[in-house]
Amino acid sequence: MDADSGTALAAIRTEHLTKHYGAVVGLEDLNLEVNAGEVIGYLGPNGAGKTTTIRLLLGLIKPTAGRAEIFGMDVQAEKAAVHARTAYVPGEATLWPSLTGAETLYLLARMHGETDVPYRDLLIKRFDFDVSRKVRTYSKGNRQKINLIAALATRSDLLIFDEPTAGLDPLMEQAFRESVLEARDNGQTVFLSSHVLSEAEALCDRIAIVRAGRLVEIGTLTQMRRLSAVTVEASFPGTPPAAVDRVSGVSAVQVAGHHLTCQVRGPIDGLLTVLAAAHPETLLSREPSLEELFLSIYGEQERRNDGSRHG
Amino acid sequence: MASTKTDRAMASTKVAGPVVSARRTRYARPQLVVARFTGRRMVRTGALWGLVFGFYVYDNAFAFHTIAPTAAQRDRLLSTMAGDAGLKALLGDTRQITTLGGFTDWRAIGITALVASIWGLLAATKALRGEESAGRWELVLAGQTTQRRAAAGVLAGIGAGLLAMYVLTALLTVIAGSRPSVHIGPGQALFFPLAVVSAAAMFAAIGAVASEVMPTRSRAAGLSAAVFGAAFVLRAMGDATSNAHWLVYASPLGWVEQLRPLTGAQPLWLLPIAGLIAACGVATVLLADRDLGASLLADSGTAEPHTAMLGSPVPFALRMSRAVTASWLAAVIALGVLYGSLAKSTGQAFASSGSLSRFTGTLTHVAERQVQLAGTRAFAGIIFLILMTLIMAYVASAMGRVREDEAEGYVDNLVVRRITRQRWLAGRAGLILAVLAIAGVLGGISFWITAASEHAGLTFRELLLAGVNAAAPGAALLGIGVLIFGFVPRLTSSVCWGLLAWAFLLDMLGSAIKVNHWIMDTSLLYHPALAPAVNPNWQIVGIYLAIGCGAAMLGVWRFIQRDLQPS
Repeated sequence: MDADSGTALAAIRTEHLTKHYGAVVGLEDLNLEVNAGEVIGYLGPNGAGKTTTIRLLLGLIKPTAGRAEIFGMDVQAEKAAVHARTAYVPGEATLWPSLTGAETLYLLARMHGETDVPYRDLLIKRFDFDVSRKVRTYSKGNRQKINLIAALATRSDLLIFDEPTAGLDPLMEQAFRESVLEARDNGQTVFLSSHVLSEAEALCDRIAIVRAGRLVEIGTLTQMRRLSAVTVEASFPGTPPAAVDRVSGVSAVQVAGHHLTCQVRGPIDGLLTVLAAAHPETLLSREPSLEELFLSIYGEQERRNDGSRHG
Repeated sequence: MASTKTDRAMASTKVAGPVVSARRTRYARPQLVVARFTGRRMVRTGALWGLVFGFYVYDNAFAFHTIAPTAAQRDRLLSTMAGDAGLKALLGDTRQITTLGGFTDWRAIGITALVASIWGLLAATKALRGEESAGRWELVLAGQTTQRRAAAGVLAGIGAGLLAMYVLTALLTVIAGSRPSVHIGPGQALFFPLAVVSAAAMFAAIGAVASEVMPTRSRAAGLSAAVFGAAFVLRAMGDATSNAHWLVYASPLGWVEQLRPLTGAQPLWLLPIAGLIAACGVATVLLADRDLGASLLADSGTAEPHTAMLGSPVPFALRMSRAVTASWLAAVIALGVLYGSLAKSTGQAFASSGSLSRFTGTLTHVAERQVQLAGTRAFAGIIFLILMTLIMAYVASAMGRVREDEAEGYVDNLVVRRITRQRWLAGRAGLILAVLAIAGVLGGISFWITAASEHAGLTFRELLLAGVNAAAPGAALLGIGVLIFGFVPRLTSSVCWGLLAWAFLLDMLGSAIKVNHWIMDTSLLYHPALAPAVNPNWQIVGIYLAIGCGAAMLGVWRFIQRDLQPS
């Protein structure tokens, strides 16, 4: 809690956060608030600005404009205090090849300042990690395990993951999910940048989607689904009703024999009235998966961009 | 089992084989890509060093006429130098240095063969083991090549670099030789650079074998450097002592010396040189047929954890660089021990020759009479000048590693935790400062130990102070290195090595020909007193420390402000 205002402090707050690399836009005007104890997924294609955001939050690079706070502390002015409450897992693990896994975990724990040793040992078992080998002999996935174990074992208030499961096998991905859920149950905040949409769908309370350096969508999966079209499939004893085309919010109507498929955005009662009048034999409605939402948001953006280019 | 969307899509797709574009570009002889790629980089650096060597040879050819006011004085000076064991150990055989050809052979090959050898071993270990350790080699091997063919390609690329080095050194040697006052025939002028390049080729070949033997680049470079050190010691001992002259023939550097391109060429010595290069080349190609990442001397993949020195950034940096640091300090001790043992005999030669004193006076910037009174000290002064250069080389190398830590992303691991950037960089700079100070002190002590055993008359105190004095240019270079790291990190290594090369070149030129003092002022080696030839100038030491300290603080300040810049 903020002692002055009595309001809960956001784990992460950015205001007009912007980063340009010369003429290249890394991130543009990001306004984001992540609540303490929340797991937020940060999604976007390659080059969208995910890693730039994380490097700004960690103070590794300076913003061109705007600012960011972690637990109320300015990430540029109070780096050491911010880092004391944060643990970070980079997408690509650059570790010292001559150290063993155990030595690296010890080093990273000492540099962080604190670690939960019994929990670290539990994580070593969970991730089936052999700590006696030298880093240069580890596969990419095993090197990533070191970073994950080191970060999770700190029990930091904020965990920042940048594509953390790259190189992990499905069993280890499962171990990662288990660990993130444990962290959430423990009241920790998780900022998860990922390409693995199923992972974000399974773990995240809210999803933020960035594209070309800009935040294009943020909300819970339920909120996003409400904004997105629902797919409806129906079959009829006779010809499907032609009036479906004229119902407000309905699009992409496809008729094949006695079957009809369409998408509806917004209230569904108008469509149901038309369908019910034709006495459907089967009726199926399906919410979009995160993958479909993601592709739909990107498709929409592309169309808008094309429109603005041609217009 | 429910079929997925992908399964359905695949089932409905008619399998028509791989799609082949009619416009697909085909490249000729993809198996030559490794040689071309390596060659492109090697030609650049080889040509640069060829230019440096060429100018150095050019300078030495003209310096012969300027080292003494008259031909008679020059003859007396060089005759005295010819019998001096210390100078023989330092730069090689002095038997014919009273002639222009012999003088140029001795001075130019003595220095350039060493520098070229170090370039060769570093270039080979970087291109072979360095690329493999960085993970780029597997991309190369995934192409249309084999391990052996790729290794041969790298060797061919290094060969292209050596050719560029030869061409530029030869060009400048021919130009110098065509001047009426120099008179070096075209045949000699073309054979001379071959001697320089053959040293580089031998140690590149040794570096290549070491890259197949050792599991890491630093160990491969360490093994090659050990062979180089042994070759130098054998050559130095062979040249310095008459009853063990045969040692020269046991050293690859001795073979280069025996070529004597300007004083009765002995091209037969090219045979052992070519034999060594061929043997190492064949061994490299044969050994290259192994598992990726493996090496002849297997490295244990597991170890008991040793957590000593992992508790904070400075001890950790020391732990990670302990082998390299120990090697530099060992080189400093070897320098002190070797030349300390020759201090007395060389000092006597210096003191007995007025011309030699004058020559030394030019180098050490002290009055002739003062040098005459202190022959041993004058010789020690020259050795401590080399110590200064060695310490600066350590600093340039260490600052290069600081930049590498940022470029490779190692720093990220630390500064995203509770380690501040200021603490990290200041700690690294402090560690380098401590090592260079220790190097200075160890240089002084090791020189004193063997000099004292020969009753050379040099006190412990004056050699200790000379060692501290020798560390001053290194401290200034360290500060400048941190400054560059703060502002333009990508240039850190180039600027540090460039400043060292510039200072060394100017000092060599300044000792032989008159160079404008404004230009000499830009050399970090020009200002410090050559203690113990003269008393250390503590004011200069103080100024160097102030420059280093100020520049380092500015560099740290800027590092805190700027973005981290991975490669």
